[in-house]
Amino acid sequence: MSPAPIIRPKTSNDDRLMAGFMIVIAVYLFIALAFPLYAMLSKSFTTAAFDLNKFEFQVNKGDGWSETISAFQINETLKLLKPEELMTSSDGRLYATTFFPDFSFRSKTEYRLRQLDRNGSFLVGSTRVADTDWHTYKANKFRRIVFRPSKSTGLDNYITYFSTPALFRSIQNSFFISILTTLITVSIAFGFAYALNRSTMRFKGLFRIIAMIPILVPSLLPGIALVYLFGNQGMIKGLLFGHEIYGPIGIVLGSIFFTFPHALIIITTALAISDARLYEAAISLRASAWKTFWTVTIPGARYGLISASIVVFNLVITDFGLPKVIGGQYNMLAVDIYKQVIGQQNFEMGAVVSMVLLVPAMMAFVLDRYVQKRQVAQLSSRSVPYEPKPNRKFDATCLSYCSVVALFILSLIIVCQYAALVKLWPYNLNLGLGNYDFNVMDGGGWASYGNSIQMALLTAFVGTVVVFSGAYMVEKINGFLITRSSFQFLAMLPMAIPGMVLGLAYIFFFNDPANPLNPIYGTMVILVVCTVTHFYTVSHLTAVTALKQMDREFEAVASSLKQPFYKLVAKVTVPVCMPSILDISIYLFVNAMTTVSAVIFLYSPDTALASVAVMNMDDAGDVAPAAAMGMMIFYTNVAARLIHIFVTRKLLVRTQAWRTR
Amino acid sequence: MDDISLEVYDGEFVCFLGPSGCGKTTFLRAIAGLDIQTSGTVHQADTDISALPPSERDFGIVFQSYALFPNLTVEKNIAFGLENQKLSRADIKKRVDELLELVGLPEQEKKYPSQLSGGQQQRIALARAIATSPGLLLLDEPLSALDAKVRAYLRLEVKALQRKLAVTTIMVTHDQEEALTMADRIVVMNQGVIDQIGTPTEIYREPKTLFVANFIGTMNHVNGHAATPDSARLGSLELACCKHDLAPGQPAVISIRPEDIVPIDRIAAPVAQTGNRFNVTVKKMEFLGSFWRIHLGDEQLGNSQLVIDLSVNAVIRMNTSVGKKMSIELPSDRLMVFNPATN
Repeated sequence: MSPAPIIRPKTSNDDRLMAGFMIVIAVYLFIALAFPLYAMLSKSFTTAAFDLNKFEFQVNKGDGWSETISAFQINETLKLLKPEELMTSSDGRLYATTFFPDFSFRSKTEYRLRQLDRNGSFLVGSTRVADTDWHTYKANKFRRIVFRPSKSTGLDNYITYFSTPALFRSIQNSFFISILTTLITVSIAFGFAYALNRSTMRFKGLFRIIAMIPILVPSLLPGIALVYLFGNQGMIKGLLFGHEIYGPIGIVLGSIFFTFPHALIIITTALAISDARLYEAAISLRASAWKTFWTVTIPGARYGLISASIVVFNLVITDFGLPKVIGGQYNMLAVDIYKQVIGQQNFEMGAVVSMVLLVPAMMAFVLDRYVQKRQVAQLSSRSVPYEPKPNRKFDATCLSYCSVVALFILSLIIVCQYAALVKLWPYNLNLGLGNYDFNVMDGGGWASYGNSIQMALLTAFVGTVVVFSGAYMVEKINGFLITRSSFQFLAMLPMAIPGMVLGLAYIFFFNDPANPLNPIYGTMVILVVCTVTHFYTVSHLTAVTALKQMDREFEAVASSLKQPFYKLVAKVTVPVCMPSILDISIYLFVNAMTTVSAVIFLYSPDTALASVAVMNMDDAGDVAPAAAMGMMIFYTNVAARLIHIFVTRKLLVRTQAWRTR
Repeated sequence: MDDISLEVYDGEFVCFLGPSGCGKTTFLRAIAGLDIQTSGTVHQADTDISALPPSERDFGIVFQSYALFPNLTVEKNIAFGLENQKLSRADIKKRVDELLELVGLPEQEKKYPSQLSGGQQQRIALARAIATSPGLLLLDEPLSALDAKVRAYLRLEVKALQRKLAVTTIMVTHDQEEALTMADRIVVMNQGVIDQIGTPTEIYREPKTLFVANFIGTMNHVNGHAATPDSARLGSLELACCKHDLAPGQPAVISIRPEDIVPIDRIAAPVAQTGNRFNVTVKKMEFLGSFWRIHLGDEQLGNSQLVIDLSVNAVIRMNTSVGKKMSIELPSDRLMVFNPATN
């Protein structure tokens, strides 16, 4: 009998479609994530320094040309520039006249100049000279000559960074603030979650809603409110006992505000899955409430506490908006990136700080993944959910506690709104809408608000499509193992990348004229791509979770019935996953409205955004209008949320027939 | 799967039977084209379909989970495969009604799958699979998710349906009762190879390997040695048995089904050891309602015990009780010898 033939499976139409579609999505993620990051990585290792050995002069004071002398030799003799002064960024420039202290542009001296190789070159005014020939210049022209630095690869940038105390101190500051905020926020959130979960107090729904408010505002808005409360003309300045709100205190208070909801969600989930049987066992063993708390409650929620700590730490250490507004002289890592890039035009150093900031972010991410895996393993199908029993005193305590926290959150928002309406604090306390006249102020005017809405809608729409398609590819397509695994990895990566780092990476990658995608730089497109990528991970996980709940064999059934897979997707997959799809779009919309860090480097005058306008107006001293714009963002997000809740509810009611089990 | 070959005849109901992990689902999926084989060919109706993707093959499939589309009505579920076949709406409706009638669920078209019971869902999945009148019907453990009573009922339904439609059907199951009642032929698989192919009767009464003998029904085993091609040695006993191909002296497993052991109805006096008759002691008796399950032992059997089922009346007649001796005969044409390595 002849040996059995090896089978090479024929690809079906569906297979080809899926493969093509997968390539598109994979290409997107490479362009949007992998390449920019690589560009930034290589930039951080690029050093630029003036190489004086390359430039040679000859001088003719009227009696013939002198001997050739290099700039290096002149420098050695005259000790004009120290070695560290020769280190610069790629845009640094050094005047040739530096080497002739007695230079006068009116003299009759002629100069000759040549460079020994093409790496670097020099400019005459704005004309670049790249050859290695001798050039002769009269004094008048010679004064316009500037040298460009030579680029090389090395760790010099990093060495400079770590030996500059001011820069280095930011690391210390960032860690200090992040750890402090983490401890405080997680404790407060734990108390809040405990009250929500373990008591039978009233108004739980209301407290939950108030707790979510900070998600709907840009992170710098609490900074503005804090200035109004505790700043130099603050309403309740006295409460600080003479301390400054600008600096660590302000950053910590503001950070607690905006990280609170994130910690709360995680801890609430952890407490909700605890097993009632453990408590019954503790009671039957006559353990006191205190002991039960420390031996049952805390250990049961430990993964939630750890995960919440990691998330809060990550959020604070990578935050840009708040330290910018209220940080004062207290340096933080994310703001350093901004200062290096926008202030100093030193892109290489910006890249270095970005790489430094990536380390805690990456570590936090890896730790969180590990904790998540352990958490899932903790669930048992036989667990009995915990039902709290009424207890007057306990409920009253919980109610007061939650009220205090809710008051803290509400007060910051109310102060912002009040600030937006007050004509001129603290001198003219009349209320009016004058601050809403954005068009007369710097920062982008009402157009920026329109742009933000446009960007948020585009991000929500495009992002949801891309995310869902990507998740479908990872979950439902067979074969292509390498592509799918690397895609899954890339999809998880954005969570570990701070927004500023991503924005900077985008500059390096897309602003390069050699890049065919250069045209999208400065347009709405790059803002949308960056924002979608920045918030990719959570969206992706939501989509994957929804898709996992679909029967694995749907695709096989459709195949056997000779229906193309996209018909299955349209008729079954999308309708069934619709609630999750809506969740992803509202998540993207809200975050697109409030994000600052990712877009701060990428917006252009045509695509100014509301969140950036808030920061710019605050910078310019127009604090009240900044608060007004911030509140506009808030109200837009509230409206969007309400629409989302309404649509979701209607959808669930309409599809109740088949969603019930 | 390892070197498997099988031929299925038109209109036949074949069962792939075996324990978890034996390769039966892999085999089914290879036939469907869902997990194409590394090497080897698959032919359907004289066409080589070995490399074709599922969408280009001609089959319908029902999975263990049914995979009914939850957001579509029963009607839309069944009609899913009929959609772009150039049929008019009226034709599709007619076909759907026809199918619902066929599976015994008329008037259910507007319901959603979550509103139906497990047995009903299974039948809808079946209707959907046969809607396009495929040449082959594949069933992957379709009854496993149901409870025992429903399963017993549906077994008959599915078999009747298959007979009516005369569609070639392959069903994967780990439940031997299902296989025995439903299949025209059974393919018993173990660890990637086919142990035996045969009708239910053949599989049950003439198992070729120890694994098949064990997997189907209950079996008594004692360890002994092969003697001549039609006898085996058990301690000092020489027993005549069915033909086997073991070498003389080779260790062998001597087996007989409980219902094949013949109790000898005599007063309790030892009989001469002739042929396959010998004496045993009653070690244990279990009452199972309509019969007693009796465990018999003897020093010649060593540690092994023979299990025999006796009707209640027989027990009364023979006055059987624990500790008493009784005589049994192991008919030579029902006594089987297996190679221990074939488990």
